[in-house]
Amino acid sequence: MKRRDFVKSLTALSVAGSQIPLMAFGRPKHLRTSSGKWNPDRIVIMIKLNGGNDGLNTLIPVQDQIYYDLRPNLSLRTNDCLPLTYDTKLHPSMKNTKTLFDQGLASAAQGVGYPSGNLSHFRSSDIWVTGSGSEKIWKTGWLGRMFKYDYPDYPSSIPEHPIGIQMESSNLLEFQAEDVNMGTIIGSNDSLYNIIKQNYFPGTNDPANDNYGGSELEYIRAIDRSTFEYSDTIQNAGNRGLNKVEYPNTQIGVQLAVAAKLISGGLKTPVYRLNLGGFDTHANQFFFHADLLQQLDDAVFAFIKDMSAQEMLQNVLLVTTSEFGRRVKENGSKGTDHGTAAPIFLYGTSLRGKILGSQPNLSDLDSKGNVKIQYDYRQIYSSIMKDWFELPEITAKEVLGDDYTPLDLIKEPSLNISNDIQIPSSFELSPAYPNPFNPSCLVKYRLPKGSDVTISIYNLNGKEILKEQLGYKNRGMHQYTVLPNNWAGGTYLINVKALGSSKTHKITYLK
Amino acid sequence: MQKNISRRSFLKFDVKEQERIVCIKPNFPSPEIAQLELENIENEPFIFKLPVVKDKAKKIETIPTLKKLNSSEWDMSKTAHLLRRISNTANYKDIEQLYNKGLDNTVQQLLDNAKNTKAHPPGNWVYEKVPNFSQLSSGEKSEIRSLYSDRRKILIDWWQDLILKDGISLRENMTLFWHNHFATNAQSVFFPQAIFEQNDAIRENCIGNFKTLLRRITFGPAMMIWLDLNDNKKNAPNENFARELMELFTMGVDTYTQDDVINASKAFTGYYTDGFETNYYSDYKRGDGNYWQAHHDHNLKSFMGRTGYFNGDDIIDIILEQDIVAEFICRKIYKWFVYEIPDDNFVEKMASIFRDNNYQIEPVLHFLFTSEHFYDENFFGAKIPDPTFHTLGMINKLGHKNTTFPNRYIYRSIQSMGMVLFYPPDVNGWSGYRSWINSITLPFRKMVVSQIANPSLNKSLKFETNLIEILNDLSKPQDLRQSIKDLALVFIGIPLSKALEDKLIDNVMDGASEYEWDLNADGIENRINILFQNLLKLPETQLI
Repeated sequence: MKRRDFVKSLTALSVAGSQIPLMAFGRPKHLRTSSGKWNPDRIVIMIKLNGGNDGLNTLIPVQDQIYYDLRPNLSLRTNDCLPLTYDTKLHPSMKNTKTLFDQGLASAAQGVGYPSGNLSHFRSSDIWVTGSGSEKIWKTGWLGRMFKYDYPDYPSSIPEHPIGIQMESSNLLEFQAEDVNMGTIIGSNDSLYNIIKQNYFPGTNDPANDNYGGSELEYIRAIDRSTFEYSDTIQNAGNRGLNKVEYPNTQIGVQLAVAAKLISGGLKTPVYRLNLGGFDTHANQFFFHADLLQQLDDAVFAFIKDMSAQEMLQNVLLVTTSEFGRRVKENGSKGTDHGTAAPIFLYGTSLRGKILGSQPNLSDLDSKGNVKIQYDYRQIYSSIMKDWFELPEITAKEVLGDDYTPLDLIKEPSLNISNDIQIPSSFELSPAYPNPFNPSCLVKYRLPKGSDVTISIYNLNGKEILKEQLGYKNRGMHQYTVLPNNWAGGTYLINVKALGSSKTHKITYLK
Repeated sequence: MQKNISRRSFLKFDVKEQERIVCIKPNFPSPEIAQLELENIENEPFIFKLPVVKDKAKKIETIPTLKKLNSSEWDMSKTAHLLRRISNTANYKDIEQLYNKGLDNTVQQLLDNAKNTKAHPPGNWVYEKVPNFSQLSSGEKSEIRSLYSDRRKILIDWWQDLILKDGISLRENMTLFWHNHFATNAQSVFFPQAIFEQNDAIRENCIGNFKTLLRRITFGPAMMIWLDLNDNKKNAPNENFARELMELFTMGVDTYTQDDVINASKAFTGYYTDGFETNYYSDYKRGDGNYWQAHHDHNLKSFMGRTGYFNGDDIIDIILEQDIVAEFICRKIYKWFVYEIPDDNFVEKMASIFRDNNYQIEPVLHFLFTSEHFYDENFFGAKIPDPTFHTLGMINKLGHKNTTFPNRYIYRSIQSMGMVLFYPPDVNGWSGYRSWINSITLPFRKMVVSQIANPSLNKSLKFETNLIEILNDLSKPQDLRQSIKDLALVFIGIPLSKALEDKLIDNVMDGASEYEWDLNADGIENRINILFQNLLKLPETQLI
């Protein structure tokens, strides 16, 4: 993504979000009360892989024959994968993550979940964001409870910077405290920001009447101003901040670029919740999953390089979550169904740089054919609270309602990170245009260095219907025209191979 | 100068970022159709639930008296308060006119408007029998499904239009009150005929007799489907309806036992609807036919201390004997029209009037709207109107009522603020009160109103506003300060402070003296536009 585009997407920041009732204003801001017990420099970026990421095809158990037996179509060949340990390899899309593992900047924990896993997206997502067990329905989010601990007076006094920022989803349950929501939503949708700006006429600061009408007026004034002021705070941080590297122009790439820019601009928000959708791969998983992991891998790597170049990486921890993993046995549609435990990934300078836990025992599955859990997801939250934010142990216990032993993942951040993280050569594939299309569409790709290029097109059943070897192409931007010849109308996958990696996009042919 | 927001950029805001609520019954009216409904969910109204705000104002002392308002105290601000709470549609001329009519005549006129009324249906299809789905081909099923889906959307437009054109009337507000009370979701009910029938029954009885209304709703096809009465059989009882009847429709939580629920659900077995007709016979007050014989539980039941061979009607009769019912309903009416925090003494008085009048709703409303308590200034501007009455009310106040509206614009606007008529998020209805306002909905509530009031913009929206005409209708059109006071009566519940008047004047006059205000001056249109834009964007304008 071009620098120019970022500026645009940041003036385009829109702010909405939390509800700030009561008299949040008319008091000086420094009166905000924080317990002061946590480390104010630390930032965590949580990325949700929406839909349920297939753990077994992310950290591949290359030594386990059962994996290959249960997944005749979907298993990844060991030679294609990237070695991490003697029995575990990474998905071939995650070249950068492999580099980061090698440099001690990435970690993972295997088999993360909770007892009696619920297989509904909604319910399991709610469990992860509330921090409950499967048997309980909680109405508040773990982050909401954590923040309430640090800002007990919120919302009577509010901090200068938003406490939690969420992108690409406006379901703020994770930030819900007992009586107030502490999350702020931002997006790259310019309209809402403009709407806030253009419809702000604050009136006066007269004290409202001491009656019911006045009480409601105070409530509305507080929301009116906090909406407006946080939109300015965020906007200003965005204008001050910068990105030192180019990010891929993908859903997660843009989100991470915006987060990096806000952090760079001095926004003190401790938690960002980002979202990458599409992991519910019930059918034709192979290409879709590869593409999603690629998007994640490229975007995270750009972010790490950016923060490292700005010497801010030691303040940032990235954590991936997903509502569940997927069934061990592939289904009849070349996909996988909802499962239970799955690995999570962490990125940053303060990691132990290893994989916690072991490959799941595929000969010991539960009654639905899912792997058993090794770590409770709340242990991760516990690690974040205790080892990252340095909150007292009792906080984690109060927030989670029980003791969850922190995992041995996070250590003191290292300050001596070399700024020249090895950059593997990878190429960029832009979305096809127009799409849907008829009669033809254009696919653009950019090579960081010269390479042989092959283009293949598959139908949704995974059948290759076209393969073209384009031969050697020089460094730079190239384009390829898709011209269907007697195709049926519908969705196809276009796959470009270059520089030893491959990227896939969906195209839809209208007939 | 501010930049106009184009309609396109407004429509770009994606309510779909919210968490969608899906209310499709898994096997209704057949598994195949339910599946088709799910597959076409993208074309259905997008329902989401606004976060609930539990925070409330502190309780304060309000006028404790149960007396009628002395007619000598009837003034313009009280008239305006009543009209904002009744329909939120009155402009300055309307307020003046009803002020001159006096309190009693005004209240009587409002009540008469709402009595025994029926609305012209959106089409004859509302009386169309439903097909036998088992005899249809899959093509025909798919066709009927999409036809019904379109008709459900027509119903939304139809009702919005009725509210818009209701004028100064209690009818549609009370109809919405009961729709929110018996909150039934159209997606779940599926049959547009049934949804219309329920709405029609409500409108006809909206200030009539609660007993009649409760029966019409209970045994109407929409409720039978929505709360699973249809599935409640002797051998497979379903407690859904019986529980909500007591908890949400008549008595409130913790007023009954689980045994009451079990026995009431037994009494409510054996009723059936195909989506249009039911096997309930109001003349005999029971179900009928083979289905009734086969699936009604004919055994003895014990309910709230009574024992008998009860059917659904008997249960309703026993419930209506409980004193708590009148209090429960009156408390809700009070919250709807007065304020979220009720005066218990006043509610008790309303309840006793309700009981003394054999559950006639009109005398309760008459008492409320003529009481001194209702006009206590503590309540002025203490209500946040729901998105429908906020939007359609503004259109009326801004003089658009005779224009033809792009329905989709109104629909989208109201939906972005968290409401779709006929699609309450659950059986509790909309949360209301402060939940209507959060930092997503507030900018939208302001923006939509400012679009409706912006002459240069509303041409592209096919609205027509004549702001000069609105000003000319005020008490002293050449007096800017008085005009602002008059406009505040129409648009704002809270009396404006002197400082706020000054600020509005400063912004309009740009430093010139307020006495320079001249409606005939060159370029005055732009000034008038600034005045309205500023006034309508005030936080105060969210309160009626």
